[in-house]
This record gives sequence, structure tokens and C-alpha cells, in this order.
Amino acid sequence: MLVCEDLVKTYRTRRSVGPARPAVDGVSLGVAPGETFALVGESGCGKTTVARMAVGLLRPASGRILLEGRDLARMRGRELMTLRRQVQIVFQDPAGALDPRQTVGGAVAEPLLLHRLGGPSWRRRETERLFRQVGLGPREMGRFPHQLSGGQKQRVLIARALSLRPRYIILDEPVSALDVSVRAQILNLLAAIQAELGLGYLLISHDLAVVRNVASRAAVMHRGRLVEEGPVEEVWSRPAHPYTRALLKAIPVPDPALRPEPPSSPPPEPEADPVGARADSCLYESLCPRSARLCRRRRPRPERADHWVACHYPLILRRRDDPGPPR
Amino acid sequence: MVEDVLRVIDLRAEFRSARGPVKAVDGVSFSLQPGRTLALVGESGSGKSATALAIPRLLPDPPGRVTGGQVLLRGRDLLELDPDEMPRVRGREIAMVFQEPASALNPVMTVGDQVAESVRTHRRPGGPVRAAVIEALARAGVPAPEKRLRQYPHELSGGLKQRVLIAIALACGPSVLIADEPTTALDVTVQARILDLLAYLGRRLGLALLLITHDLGVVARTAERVAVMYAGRVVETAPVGRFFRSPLHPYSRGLLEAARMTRDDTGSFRVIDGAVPDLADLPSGCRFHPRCAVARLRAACAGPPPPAREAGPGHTVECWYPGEAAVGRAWAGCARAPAGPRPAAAEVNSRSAGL
Amino acid sequence: MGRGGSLAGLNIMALAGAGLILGVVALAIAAPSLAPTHPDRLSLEESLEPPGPGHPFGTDYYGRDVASRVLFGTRVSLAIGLSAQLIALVIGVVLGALAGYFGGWVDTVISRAIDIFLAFPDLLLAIGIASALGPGLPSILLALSLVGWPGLCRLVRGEVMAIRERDFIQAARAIGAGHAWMLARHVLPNVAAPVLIASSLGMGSRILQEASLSFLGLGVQPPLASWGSMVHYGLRWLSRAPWLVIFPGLAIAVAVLGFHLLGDGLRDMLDPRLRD
Repeated sequence: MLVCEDLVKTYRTRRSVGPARPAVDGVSLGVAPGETFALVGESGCGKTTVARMAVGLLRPASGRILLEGRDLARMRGRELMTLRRQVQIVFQDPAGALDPRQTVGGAVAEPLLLHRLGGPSWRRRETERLFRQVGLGPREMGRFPHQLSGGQKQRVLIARALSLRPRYIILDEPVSALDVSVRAQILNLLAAIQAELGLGYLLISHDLAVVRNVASRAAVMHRGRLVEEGPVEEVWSRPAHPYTRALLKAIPVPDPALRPEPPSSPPPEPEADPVGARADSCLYESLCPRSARLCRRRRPRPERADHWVACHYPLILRRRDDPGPPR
Repeated sequence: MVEDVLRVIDLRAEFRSARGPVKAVDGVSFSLQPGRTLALVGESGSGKSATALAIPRLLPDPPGRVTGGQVLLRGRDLLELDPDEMPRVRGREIAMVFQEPASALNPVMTVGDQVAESVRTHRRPGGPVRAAVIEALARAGVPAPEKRLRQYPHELSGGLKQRVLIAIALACGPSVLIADEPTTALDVTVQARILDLLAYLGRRLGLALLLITHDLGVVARTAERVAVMYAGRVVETAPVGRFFRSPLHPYSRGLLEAARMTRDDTGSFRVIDGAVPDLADLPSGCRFHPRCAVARLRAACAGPPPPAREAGPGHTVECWYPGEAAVGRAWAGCARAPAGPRPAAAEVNSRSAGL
Repeated sequence: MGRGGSLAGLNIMALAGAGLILGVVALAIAAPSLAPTHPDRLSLEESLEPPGPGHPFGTDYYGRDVASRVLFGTRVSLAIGLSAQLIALVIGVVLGALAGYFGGWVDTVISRAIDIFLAFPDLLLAIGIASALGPGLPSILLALSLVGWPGLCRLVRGEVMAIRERDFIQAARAIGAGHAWMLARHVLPNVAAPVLIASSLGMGSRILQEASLSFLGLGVQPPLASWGSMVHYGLRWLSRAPWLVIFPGLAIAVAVLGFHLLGDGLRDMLDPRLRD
């Protein structure tokens, strides 16, 4: 398993006085081999920060990242290098993640060279094999990134991530920069690779349709905290957190029959609430239609279960003896 | 039959590039009616943004250039107008909203001043500016508009910025609004509210709305009609209902399958092979044929390009074999319930659980 | 597509600049066989002869052939310009890359040093350094390099800072690349183009500055002659024998023009913001 345990990360900002609110606040999740775990949320919710911590690009302020039970933060030097090979990342923007002055063949061979794996001829064969694995020909190896389409570039980055034979890949919005008609190609490729190699994927995404279709479990993140986690089918069909429900309701469905009634007054933009929000309250409280006094006073803590929610008054997971929010 | 406010006829525009002229818009025609929304759908390089810019003559020249066609605004060809007259047309009759709300606002000017600028330029004589500004902001659903007047763009959220831009665009009562990917940079929850706002304003003010987007979900939520662009041409135009029920062009079908994340028998997602073509190096015949599963065994597709054909009321398609299935595979775009929750169900859920 | 059009994908300005430079370099290399006489051969009876069949550029007070001296002066001017520019390049790229890549106090220290150097006008600084060290080849090299590095350093620092934020640097970190690997394989190759452009422009400046120092008598000392020192000595006879100044002056102008054309042309060719 790749496990993130109670991760916290706070960025220092110039403007804020006093301790800033953490960008990531106590996030725990686990990815099993062969499984796709999705971390869902809107921009600025901290999901990318979690992704970067999981591959070691950022150091958490507290919390642990465990790979097969071993803490990455406690490792140094060679041991860390070897372990790091097992978790790789594919970035959102394939154009930006490739060095414009490096051939794409060079980009895929680079990790092998860096980790001193094999000799030149082996590396060349290995690069060719990786290119084939992601559906590219050896002809593409000598090209530069700008000579390839967006989908081809993302294939190159997937090949590069695979080159170190990782067991887990963090997919940070892997298809959101791609054209709609190309997305399915990349998702199919990722699925085929997962089936073949038994990789564990941590999928970071804001696209709920993609998540629903490729992930088995999902966690919903809001303002640095996880608010709900469960099997995708469960969460999608019976969202328990008001935020999850709002998110799901907002997806534009490609079917005009499901179009909501057009509003009869201008839909108001909710006031952005003071972000100084107290650590001991629910952070969705100011936007939540179900907000009550308790929500402002106590941070909701989840009871861990297969499908859990961090909400004082969840939509459906409520226990029978719970009276619900006071009117 | 509603009268057309804007008719675009055989519009052509190209860009100069190191490898010769690139025909970004190559014979595009459509029309807009008051109170109705036309969604112009396409992927990157389809020419949809170039079309949007060419209508109010905002295509950067050089490298861009309109090379032919007509843009008739209430019968008057904008392409024939004296360039000095264009600023009056833009804003007063055609307004635009762009994708990046952050860069479309001036960072060193207050929100009030920016809206006032638009109000003043095109003001009907008389009437206090301040009141008009507050009214414009309120109409765009900006909460507490009086408070916003002295704020700067960086103090606003992305959704609010886009609302301010909509307020600016609508301040002088245009009859046509061109919105180029207005919600692409926004989060889903914000996007839904902005789309609802555009739909509301369109009907309330009788705006003819041209919505440029790549997202068929956005189309289904907002538009009455769809025009699908591919490699510089409109390949299919249809009323929304017809389009989502029975699209005829193989590319439209592919897009819809992609948007609905339809799977084939093996469980893989249905794909459109290949990538969007290079506009400087277009294939012969039908531009989609190298990627088209229907064209695979048919020589006609590589021959002369297919003409636009009438396929039903308000439905035209440019394809030699419209509506035909690919060899050995049925179209399955509608066979499966679309991804995502049904809002109706979620609604019921919320009522029973929330109260 | 840049200014000046292109020929077979190459910028015409760059081609013209490269042509001029190649011509000047060829003359420098072939100087011994092209020169009518030895540049230091005295012939007092031929003193201050105007340009003519025997001496195409005329002769100086000591009867030395100006054409030969200009040809051999090319070697001196080019060699000093090139060496100074190379030293400036090494200092500028190393310090600039360190400042831009690591930031923090490293950047603060280097940036303040740049600020101090850039606070003085180039030539004044060169004169100051050269006169403090006394005339001679080492001091002129040092003076020109010290004048040349801050501009390059600031350029490299800025470019590196921008590149550091790009995703492909994060991507390289994710495969486990260390600082040295990153700098050598991803950062420096991506600053090569602007550095090349700045170096070509810089070569023009170095040649001009060398000429200025030599003109002021702070540069190359006799019997060695550079274009600048020739102008310096020719000035005395300006009214009687203007060819002593005109021909070395023209040589300076042609070489500087060549490097500037090449630099501007390369900028149009290589700057991705102007391409496509």
C-alpha cells in the first residue's frame, strides 16, 4: 500500500499575519496495488499539494507517507532513491512537463540514465519497449515535444513514469489538458497498463465524470480537508456530505433532458467567506444549506468506515437516534 | 419563426504562419436569434475561437485576416463597415466575454471604474453613472454591488470576476453576446452558476448568445442549438434535443461518446483515433475521414468534400454517410445512462434528508 | 518569422552578420599571406604615404604598411574580444545559474554584486580597472571581463528563475534528479539560446571597449597593435594622414556590425516568443 497518514502542509504567505490556515489539513488516504483511488476537489482545495507530497516533491509539515509500511521521510540517500522509484507522477500539462530542448526519447531514457540502470544499448531497447507500451513508434523517439500532439506528449510522460517500473503512479489531472476526443485514448491506455502491471493509481481530478468512470474509491477534498470517502458508486449515488452533493449536482451532464429548470432570477454568487475560518469549525459551514450552531463550534471528525463523512449532519449516513440539525 | 439578429455566411479567415496560410475558419455559416443560445462546439484548432473573434472584427491582424464571407448584423455587413464604426458596434450591439476572467480585467482599476467606463462610453444621454453601474452589477448577480465599486479585481473570486465581466459586457444593452469558453477556467460549482446566469440573462434581455465551448455538458445545459466545428468547418448544426438524441456526423457521435464516456464491449472507452489535424496540412476530401471509422472502407470520403445536407428541421450535416454506423460496430452513445447523478434524484434526496 | 525576412529558414540578418564575422576571421587567419609586408617592417623613406598601389591603405609615420597592420590587428582585437567575452560568459553563467536556481541568500549576494557593477557606466568601469592595474594585456582582459559579466549574469539569473518554475523541472525532480543533474541537463540547455544571443552582442561590445581602452592608451602597448591602438597613434596625424584612422576605424565598425547583426538575427530566429 501507498499510505498518506494525517498529512499537514502550510504555505507561508506574505499577506497573512499569524499562522496561515493549512493548505492540507490532516489528509489520510491509501492506495492499494491494482486499485485507482481518486482524490476529488475544486481548484485550491489542496489536492495537488497532496500529490506532490506523495511523490516527495514537497515535504509535509507533519504526517507520514508510508510505502509498503516504511516511512519515506525517514530515509536518506540511496535507500530513498530506490524507494522513490516506486512512486512516479504524471502531470496535468504534458507540454509543460517535457523539457522543450530534449528529445522525447531522451526524456524517457533519462530516468534510466539517472538511476544508472543498464548500459546504452539496453537503455535504447528499453526506451523502445516503453514507447511501444504506450502506443508510440520508435520513429517518435527522436522528436522534440513541440512536434508531437498533446495526446502523444502525455503518452511520452506515461512511458517516462513507467521507465523506473514503479508500483504506484500519481496521476495529477492526467487528461484535463487534452482534447475531449483524445481523453478516452489516454484513459484506455492507463487502464491497460494498470491491468497488465497491477499498478496502484492515485488519481487527482476535478472531473467527476472521469473519476466515476475509472476509480474504485474516491475521497472528496474541500479546503484542505477530506470531507467524504467511499466506494465511487456509493459516493456518487448517495453523497453524504452537502459539499459532495453540491459538486455532483453542478456537473453539466451531456443530456439536455436533464437540464435543470432555468432560473427565474439571477443566480447569486455566494460571498467568499473569510478564509481565516477557525480551525475548530466546519469549513463548508458558511456555504452549507444545513449549517447549524454546532457546525461553527466543532470541526466534524469522521468515524472511519467503508463510506465515511466528516459532517455533523450528513445527508444519508445519519444514525437513527440523531435528531438532525435544529431548525 | 424568429428573426435572425446575426447571420454569418461563408465566413473565412486565415492566419499567416511560417508554413504558409492556415485556414482557421473555412466557410462557416450560422445564425443567431434573440433570446436563443447557439453553442459552437469544437476542440483545440477547430477554428471556433477564430470565428468568435472574426465576427466583431477582433481577429489580430497580422497574423490573422478575414478573407471572405459576410457577417450580417440586422442585415448590415460588419465586414464592409468602416473600421472607425466598429467600436460603436462592439459593446453597443455585440459584446464579448472571454475565458480568462483574471486577465480580462485591469488589475489597477477598481471594479466600479471598469464598469463605469463601459457605461459611459455607450451611455444613453442622462442618468447618473453610479446608479447604472450598480444596476449592471446587480443584474449580473454580484452580491452587494455598492461594496464592490471600490474593490480591485484581485479581491474577487474567479466567479465574481466573470460576473463583473458579464456586467461590463451587458452594461450598454447589446443584442448579441459572444462568450468564448466563459466557464472553462472556473470550478464546476462556479461554472454551473455562471451558465445559469447566462441562460437567465439571455432570456430576460432577449440576447442572442453565441457560446463557444468544448464541453458538451455545457451545451446540454445552456444551448438551444448546436454547431459542431472540425478543422475550420461546421460539420453539423442541429437543435439541441435532436443533436443529443441522434447526431449524424461521425465526429459529433465520437464527441458525444467521449463526453458520455461510453464503453465498448471489451470495457474500453470508445475513442476517436488519431489527433486533430494540422490546419496547415489538411487531409483531402472530408477533413475527418482519416480518423473516421465510417470512412474506413469508403473511397468517397477521400474524394470531393461533402456538401452540407438538410437532415431534418434545422438539422444540417456535412458527411457522405450521415448517421451510418461504422463497419462492425453500432453507435452506442445513448445506450448507457450518462455519467454523473441525475439532478432530479439528487433533488429528492436533498429534500427528504435536509428538512 | 522575424524582422528582415528569411532565406531557407535562416534569418537574413543572422546570415549577413555571420558572413561579416567569417570574413573578418578569415582575414585574421590569412593575415601572414595576405599582408603586403611584415606589419612591423620600418621604412622611414616611405613615411605617411597615402593609399596607393604599393600600400593599399597607405603607410604610417614610420613607413609601416597600414593594410598589414590592420590585418594583424584583427588577430589582436578578435583574440582579446573573444577571451574577454569567454571569461565574462563563464563568470556570468555560473553565478547567474547559482543565483537563479538556488535563490535565497546566494541570490541576494550575487544580485547585489551585479547591482554594484551595473551602477557604473561600462567604459568608465573598464577605464578605472585598467588604469588601476596599469596597461598591459592581462589588465585589459580583466577589465573587459569584469565589465561584461554582470549583464550576462542578470540575464541568466532571470532565465533560470523562470525555468525553475516550469513543470519539467518538477518532473525531473520526481524521477530523482539532483541539483547538478538538473542544472546540466535541463536548466542550462534552456538558457543556451538567450546566452548565445547575448554573447554575440557582447562580442561586439568587447571589441568596441577594447578599441576604446587602446584608443585611450590603456590597452594594447606597442609593438603589438590592435585596431584601437592604431586609431590612438593615428590621431596625431589626423589632418595629414587620415587613412591612419579611417581604415582601423572601418575595421572596428565592420566587426562590431557583424556581431550585432548576428546577435539580433539569432534573437529573431531563436526566440520562441517570436517564432510560430
